Amino acid sequence: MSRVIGIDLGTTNSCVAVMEGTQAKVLENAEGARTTPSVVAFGENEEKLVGQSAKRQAVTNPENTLFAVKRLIGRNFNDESVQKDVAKAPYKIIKSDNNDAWLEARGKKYSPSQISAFILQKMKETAEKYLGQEVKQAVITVPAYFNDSQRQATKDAGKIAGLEVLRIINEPTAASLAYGLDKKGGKKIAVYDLGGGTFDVSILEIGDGVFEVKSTNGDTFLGGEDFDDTIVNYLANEFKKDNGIDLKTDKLALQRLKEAAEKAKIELSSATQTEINLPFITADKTGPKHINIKLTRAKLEALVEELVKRTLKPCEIALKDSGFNAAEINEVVLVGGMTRMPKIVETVKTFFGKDPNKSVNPDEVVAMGAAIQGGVLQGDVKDVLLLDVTPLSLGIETLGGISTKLIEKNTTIPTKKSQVFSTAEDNQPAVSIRVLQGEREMASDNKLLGNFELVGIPNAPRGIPQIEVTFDIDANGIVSVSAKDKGTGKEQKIQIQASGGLSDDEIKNMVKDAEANKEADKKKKETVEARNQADTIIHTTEKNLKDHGSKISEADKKAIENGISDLRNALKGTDTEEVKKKTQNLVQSSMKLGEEIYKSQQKNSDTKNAKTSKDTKNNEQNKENVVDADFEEVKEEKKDKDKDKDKEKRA
Amino acid sequence: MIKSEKKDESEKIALEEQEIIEKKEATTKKESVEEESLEDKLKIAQEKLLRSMAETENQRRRFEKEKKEAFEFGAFNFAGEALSLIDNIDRAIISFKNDESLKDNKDLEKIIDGIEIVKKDLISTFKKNGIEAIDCLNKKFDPNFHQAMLEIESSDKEPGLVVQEIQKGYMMKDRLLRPSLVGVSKKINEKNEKK
Repeated sequence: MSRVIGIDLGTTNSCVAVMEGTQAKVLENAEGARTTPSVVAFGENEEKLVGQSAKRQAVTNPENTLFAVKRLIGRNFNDESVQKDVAKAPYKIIKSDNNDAWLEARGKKYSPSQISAFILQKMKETAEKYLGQEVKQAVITVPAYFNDSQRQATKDAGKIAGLEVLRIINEPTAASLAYGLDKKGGKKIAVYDLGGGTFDVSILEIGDGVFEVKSTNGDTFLGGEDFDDTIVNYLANEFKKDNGIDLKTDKLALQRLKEAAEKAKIELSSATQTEINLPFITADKTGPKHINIKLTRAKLEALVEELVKRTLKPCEIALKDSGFNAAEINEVVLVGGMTRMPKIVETVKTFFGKDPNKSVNPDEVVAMGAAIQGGVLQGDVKDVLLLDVTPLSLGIETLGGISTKLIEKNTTIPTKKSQVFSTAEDNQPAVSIRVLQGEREMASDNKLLGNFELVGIPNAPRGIPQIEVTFDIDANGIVSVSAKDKGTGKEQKIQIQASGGLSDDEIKNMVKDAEANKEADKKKKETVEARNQADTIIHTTEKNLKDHGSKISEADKKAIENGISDLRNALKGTDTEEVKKKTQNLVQSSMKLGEEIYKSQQKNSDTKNAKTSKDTKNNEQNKENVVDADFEEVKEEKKDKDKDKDKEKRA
Repeated sequence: MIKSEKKDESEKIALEEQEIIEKKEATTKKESVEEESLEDKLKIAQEKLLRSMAETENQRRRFEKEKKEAFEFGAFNFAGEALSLIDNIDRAIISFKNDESLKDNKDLEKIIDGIEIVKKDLISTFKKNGIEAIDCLNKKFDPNFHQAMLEIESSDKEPGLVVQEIQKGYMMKDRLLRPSLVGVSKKINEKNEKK
């Protein structure tokens, strides 16, 4: 089953992503990086380098290291922008036979499509390595302002790389897809893309699932690298002022400055100040020199103020050309690593008057959108997107009024889950299953969806019967809950419509409620569990005393009996700590009894009846899934027994 | 004028390129439903089931691999940043050795020895975690491991060799942690054609 990959073929960096289930996933290349520099170099012996390695040898091979080829793809040699590049680029840009802009390296001529194809090939290989299978189809993104010739040339690049390009989509469109904006209907979207080397702003309008580009604008020579340079210049100038040395002439010092500047810029997106530490940055006659500067976010914002302002003019023009005003824009999307900077987010927010979408990694959002488009074209994504999730947890009520979850909220359906429970009392003849929906710890705080009983449980000590409770949710959200006595094979079940009329808001509120009450709920649960445990200990210790009391001394017996009555008294009160303490005491004092029972047990292999406190402790640790169920009287049938005990959960 | 033309062009292309996804899928669906018999439907469903089971297996396999790699290389970023510790210890030592005012100090050696011991320990700790320095001097320049900072004319050395190590590079297991920053030899008066 071949997969369609999504490729963001960028001017400075490229990125590849693929759908993993319902989520787009960015793939790491062979060097472990999530983006690959869009650089291709030709070495001396016919060797070809792509990506980071091509970048690293640029200094030794400037004429044959080709970068920013995206500026040339699909363009005429006589284009104004191409001519500008001809003057600037260290590599040769030539005119092809039909006047296209081509490149020459090591005496060979290449079209920009061919060079881009080498990059696409590396992205293809990255995906193939991850998926473990051949990749033959892709969706590739292009800027919204690309004309027909540029789009075709990009498609050709894909073909040369061995990829069938199912769709060429616009970068702002891809970003919008990654945020699922196409599902929200009738929207006007502004996409603010500040990448490594270029700035693009686009205004889109969606209607009926179709994206229409209303206008585009930007600055092709404004990007994150300019921000880094500003910091480097600041540091170098401060140093020159203090020490009279120009660090920019020292290659290593400059490299260290650049790295420190980029790191500081990134840190200041989350911290309000950072320390730039460069010991031994240089030396002169007086000794070694160090840089140790504190850089605040405010200072950084002041330094780059002009750059940030520069992005606003294109936004104004694009908005004007689109025919909309800022108030009409429904969604703003941020693309490009630089948009992580709080000042940029604030500027964008002020300009468009709304909070921008930025939860998706801005370096990767375009590739992810392309992958999503690829998934849709492949057909899988639609199927997977049809899968629902159960919005709230489902479970049953157990001993002490606790809500025990069987299916966690946001589990993809259809799904099925079983757990084994047991009885809370000796000779309990039936169990009552109360089906609950919600996130609270106590059953009374959750919604009761339905209840039923499983009767006819043969007489047995508490904790022995095995009642398997199964939750089965089908694709339509209908819940079937069954309880089966594994001993007799008897089974009862009911069917419920799980979402039962809960609106999205109601669901959200329930989840919020649970969060708010988490601490209080936890305490309540602990209290109940402590009491349950105390109950169990009393019960089993009394039983053991009856059965095996003869095996120990009178003194020991008295100690245990005192322990039991102490604990009973503690249970009458509400002090949980007291209950816990008395439980421990009883456990301690019944150790001797436990020892004797254990010894006699070793003689006869009948393990079923022996329930010492030691055993109980072991059970609590070993019997993970066995939970005691309870029998709850149905109100109408007032019978002889007044069992009102709840289900007990054993850890 | 030119700009709005361009805009119209790209608008048109955008519309052409963007197919109406829902409508297309609706038509293909209609066609296939008309032709499907119960048997066909069953076959399709079975195949889908097998496919998703296979994909689940593949996903599991991929996640296992990722988990393993995340564990092995979890310290990658930290390791990269910690390298500057070794860098700066080296720089400190060199700076002390070159310091005029310390030249005659008999205790200098003691101090440097102490620092060297710490440095050795640091290197050993790195090694235990799979981090090792790249040996680059006089080796052929390899952009997979080295980053060229400058070219140095040399009459006696072959061109394309690493003749200067400006900053040490390191590997973490079989991944490049940080490239060696190097100076590469070149022929004297090598042709420099620029446009």
